[in-house]
Amino acid sequence: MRSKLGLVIFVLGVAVSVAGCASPPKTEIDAVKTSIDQAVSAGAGQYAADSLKSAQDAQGALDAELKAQEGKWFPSYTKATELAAAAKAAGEKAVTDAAAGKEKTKAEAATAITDAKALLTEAQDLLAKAPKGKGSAADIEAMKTDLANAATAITDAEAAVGGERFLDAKAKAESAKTAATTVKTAVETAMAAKKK
Amino acid sequence: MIHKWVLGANRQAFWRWCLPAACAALLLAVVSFVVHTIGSRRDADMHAAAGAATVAIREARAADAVTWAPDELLAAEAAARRSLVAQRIEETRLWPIPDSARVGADYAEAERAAQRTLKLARDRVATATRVTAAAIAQASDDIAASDQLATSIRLDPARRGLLAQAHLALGEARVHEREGTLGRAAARAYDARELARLVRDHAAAVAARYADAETLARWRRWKEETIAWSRREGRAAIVVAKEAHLLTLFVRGEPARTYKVDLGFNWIADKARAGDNATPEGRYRIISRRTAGPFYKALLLDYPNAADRVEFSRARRNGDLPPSAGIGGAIEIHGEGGRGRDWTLGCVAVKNTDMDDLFARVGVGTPVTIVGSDDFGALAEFAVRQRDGRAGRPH
Repeated sequence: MRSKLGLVIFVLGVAVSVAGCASPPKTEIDAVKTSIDQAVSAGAGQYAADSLKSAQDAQGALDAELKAQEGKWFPSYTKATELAAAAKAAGEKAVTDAAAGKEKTKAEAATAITDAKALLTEAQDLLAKAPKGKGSAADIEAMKTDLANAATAITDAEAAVGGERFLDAKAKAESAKTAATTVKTAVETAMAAKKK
Repeated sequence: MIHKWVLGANRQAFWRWCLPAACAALLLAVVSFVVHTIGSRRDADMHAAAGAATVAIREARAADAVTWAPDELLAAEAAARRSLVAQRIEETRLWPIPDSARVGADYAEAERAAQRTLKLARDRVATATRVTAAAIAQASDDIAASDQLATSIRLDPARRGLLAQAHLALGEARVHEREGTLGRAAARAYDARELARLVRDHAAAVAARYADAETLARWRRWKEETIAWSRREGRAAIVVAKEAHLLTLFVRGEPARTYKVDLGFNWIADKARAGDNATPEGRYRIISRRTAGPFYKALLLDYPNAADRVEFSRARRNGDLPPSAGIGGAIEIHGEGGRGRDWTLGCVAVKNTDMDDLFARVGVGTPVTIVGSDDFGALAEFAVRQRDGRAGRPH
């Protein structure tokens, strides 16, 4: 009888110990933090804000679950493990989306720079062919200065791409395009007027 | 045994134990149902409160609160996270009826914080949009004014470069405004304004002569003396007012006709040296008439005259001009004008038909007086406004 009672107490003790000493899924939690840190480093805040927000929300849900279980006598981390898996997946998606968003903005900046360079060359060629004379010398010099500054803006845009400031790069290239177009149009108009 | 119960052998025991047990079971079922119903309702209340807070935070983020109300957004999100912890504690408690009122109040506070954040972000975006649009419009006006100046004043390459940079900065500001990066847009618009201001300051310095009382008095005296000469001699004389772009022919002291003129593209300055493309100011005479040339008919002036030579020597001696500078010459009144802009290298150009008319009325020896202006005109007003620190345009 005494040995049976001892057995019951032993079994109950083991059960209580097992239930009471359940520990949080540390590996999974660390993986979530790592994936979200990677997303932030990859520029998700700028290039994949919605994905990063989803990942951070998922991390918030995991934190809430962990805190809820912390105060319990018999904590269960089954749901926390599931939430950690979801948060890690969301973090990894934010990393992927950030890379894609960054590439897209970079491509837009690169296109703008290519277009600006082409327009600049066209304007320079046209200006070189513009009729020179007493009445146009000053205008030609002024337009040359404008194109030189547009060329500097394109160089600045390329430097901005190097510094991963893609939006700045795009703005500079677009602005250089406008400057080159203005000169090109002015020369074309002057040449057309001359022909008349 | 059962058989005996059924048969009523222990009927008394049945009523003593089973009936209370059945009643207890029924009571337990009723209590369980009530507790479950209340618990479910409170769970639903908590979820509804959580949903409302989540929606409010999502709206705040959609309004770009990350940029425009970051601290407030963080506070609202922190409140929502605390509420979520409280919710999970209530949901996982052994007692099946959660304290939804406390959790709901927490979520409501988070929701209110998010709504305040949304309003703040929207207000700030609206203000920034307005400020940016105003900065861009102002920069655009300033650059337009500087462009206008650049057509009147020959800008050296460095200042022309400043104007080009102003245009580029304005272009960048517009791209940033379109992309919603308003802070950057406003910053580049301010850069554009500052660059345009440098050009305008230079223009104001150049135009300052037109507001100088002594210079203006000298120009007026030249003009009056020329008219007096025409009256006294009974002959024709010419006065060119550069700012007005008008050539007036006086006959016997009376204005006989005015002609629109194009000038050197650096007309606003007084000619100081060869190649400065300025139209000279002074009292000259026609020394030669040419009936055909690259610019139709022409009347050659005696620039440089004695006064010009004295001034040129003084400038070179003082180091205002380099030793290699020449004084220039071949300043004419010629045809091929009427272009509506200043394009010559310092000459005065009129339309060919006007040249025919003028050519017939004047001859060698006719006085030609060229002045900057004969009154306190728009350039003088512009120079004074700029000097006093107020914005203004020359025309």
